[in-house]
Amino acid sequence: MTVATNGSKPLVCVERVVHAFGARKIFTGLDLDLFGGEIYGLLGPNGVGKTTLMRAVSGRIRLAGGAIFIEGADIRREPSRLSAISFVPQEIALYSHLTVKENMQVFAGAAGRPAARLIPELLEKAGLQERADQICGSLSGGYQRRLNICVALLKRPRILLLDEPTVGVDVDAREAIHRLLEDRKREDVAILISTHDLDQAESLCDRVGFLRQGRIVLEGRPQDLLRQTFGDRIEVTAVLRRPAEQSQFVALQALGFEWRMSDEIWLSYQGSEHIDAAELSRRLSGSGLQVREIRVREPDLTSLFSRVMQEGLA
Amino acid sequence: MIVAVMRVMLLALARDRGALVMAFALPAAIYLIFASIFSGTAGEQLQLSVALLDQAKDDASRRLVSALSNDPRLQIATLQPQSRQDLELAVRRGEIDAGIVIRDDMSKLSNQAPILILGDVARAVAAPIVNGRVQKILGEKLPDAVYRRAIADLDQNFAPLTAQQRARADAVLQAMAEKARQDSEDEGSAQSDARAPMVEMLEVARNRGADAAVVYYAGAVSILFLLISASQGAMLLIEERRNGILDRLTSSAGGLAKAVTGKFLFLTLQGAAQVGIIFIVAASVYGVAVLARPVEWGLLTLAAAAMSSGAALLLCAVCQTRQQAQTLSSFLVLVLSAVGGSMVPIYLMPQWLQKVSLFTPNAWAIQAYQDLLWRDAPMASVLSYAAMLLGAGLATAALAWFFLLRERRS
Repeated sequence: MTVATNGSKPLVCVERVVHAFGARKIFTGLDLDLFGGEIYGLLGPNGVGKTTLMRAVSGRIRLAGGAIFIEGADIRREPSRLSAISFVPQEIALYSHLTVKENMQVFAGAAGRPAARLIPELLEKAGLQERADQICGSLSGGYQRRLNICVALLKRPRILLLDEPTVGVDVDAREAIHRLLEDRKREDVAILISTHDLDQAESLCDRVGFLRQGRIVLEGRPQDLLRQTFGDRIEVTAVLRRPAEQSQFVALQALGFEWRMSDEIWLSYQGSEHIDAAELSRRLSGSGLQVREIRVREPDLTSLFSRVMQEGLA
Repeated sequence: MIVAVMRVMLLALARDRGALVMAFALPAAIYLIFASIFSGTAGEQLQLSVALLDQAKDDASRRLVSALSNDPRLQIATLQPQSRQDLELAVRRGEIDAGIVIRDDMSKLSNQAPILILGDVARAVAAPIVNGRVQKILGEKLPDAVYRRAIADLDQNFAPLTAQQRARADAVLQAMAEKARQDSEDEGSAQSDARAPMVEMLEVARNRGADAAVVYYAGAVSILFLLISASQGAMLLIEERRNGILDRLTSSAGGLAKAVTGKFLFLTLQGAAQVGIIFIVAASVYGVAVLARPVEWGLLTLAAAAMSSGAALLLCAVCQTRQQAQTLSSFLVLVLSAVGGSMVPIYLMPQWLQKVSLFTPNAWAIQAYQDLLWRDAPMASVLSYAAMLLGAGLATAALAWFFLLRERRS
């Protein structure tokens, strides 16, 4: 268990968790701490175990090893601690035949929380107040996602787990969802999000963790991780018309291209003073490579994600 | 939690017109159809279509034709067969239920019976009923013909009569025939001078204004539609499991047990309302005496509804998709209903199938409603069936909870 810089203890502490589906290992000693008032982004490719981790934290999975503590208590010994958690699944877990307001009322009733004031407040914050009487099944995907989160907030959780909360939504819906989450963060709620949207992770999350081969291999504040990994270097991407042949790899590496997305897309990280796109293109062409495009940009979480997942940076 | 779960199911039902019709209108309509078909098949209202061929053409045969024509249980077809072959053809074609041939003088002894009844194997029950009616009419309306034949038999085969005895017997039989003829002409004087009858029939089933088949099918249709509607209502559980709603509901205060309880209670109340409508129709259209023992009827109805609710929840807890649940529920409901007597009365089944039917909830419910509303069985008998149904409902609901819990933890 780690302690935050302000001295607070984590609301969720995942310790050396081990889990497998048959012969397939999902977690091989995973550790993760989640603090109140922070948004933690869980990053990783499909099938790596993000949803499984959320289900484990919310007590829906019996683990093969390790332990999960909620507010300091082992959930196996004190399952009542799970009541502090709201889990927003990736699916739209709503009754499609009920209206927006009825869904809120039903889940408030199920949670045993009177929510006469909270329902209009949440609907307003999510931009759903004008659709309160609309049948849920007739709402667009974005509005359904907003409602999916609002329902989870009805029980005023101290820990909020969201599995891909903004998948397939437009910019308005995404911003509305971000506003809702920022509000909860200010109320000291600990928020864990799994996402493939790295822009979202960079802008929304206080910390991110990269899940790979059953454990968190890299974790920290996005800007810190980017600085630690790339320093002041700039990302240069060469997009070729044809895949590079084995004999041309040496020429690419000589020009600093060491990371490969595919045989057509090569990356290098260089100091900004060395970069001259036109000169680079000319030199690549001189090596027999047909260049479609040279991109130059500051590295971001997408860059970091590619390196972590492809090269096992830890 | 329980109220919230029940509210969701109520709204789902209220917004689905098809489900509403299926739950409340269709059962009553199907009951009316079944009751119309089967009312009277117990005997008292049955009217069979018969055709007559009088080959004897004597006084007795004319009296028999007349008596048969006036029998309220028989409907004499307009068909006028010229020969026995014509009559056989009409029976074979299904134009009539049975044919009656008066072949010879009924008082004369011969090797063949003077009256022949032609029946269709496909309508096996018709010929014995017609036979019974003919025997009854002979005894009541033509006692002289019956005695004349008996006396002839006695005279010829056992104890030959003297001339004086014969003359006296003739006189008595003449008087008997005359009286029977007069009685037939006098409406309301149905009983003729039949002396002491060999058999007397007394109907002991308590008559509460409805016939047995109507009561039988009220129970039979009720349990059939309880199973169908509960299965339909419980399907929501599959969607809730698939899209994460159940996870969301059960992570809240109360957990899975309350969610299952809410569903069980709603389906039970819905089922009770459904059965209530069927019995209101039965009472108002056929005079079934539901209100004679309302408390027992209410307990039995709740128990039957609880059984179907628990079974439906179990079905939807073990099936992974709606399609799978629909297929399995159709199969189970049809088999249980066929074996359990919801389609064909249990007493018409072969013995081995009657024994199998004892293991179906349909048979328990049908028997319990029959006992309550027709046989006037004691409360303990009715409540024992109710306890079996309720026990089955609670057990299957508990199993549903167990399977859902296991799924959540896997």
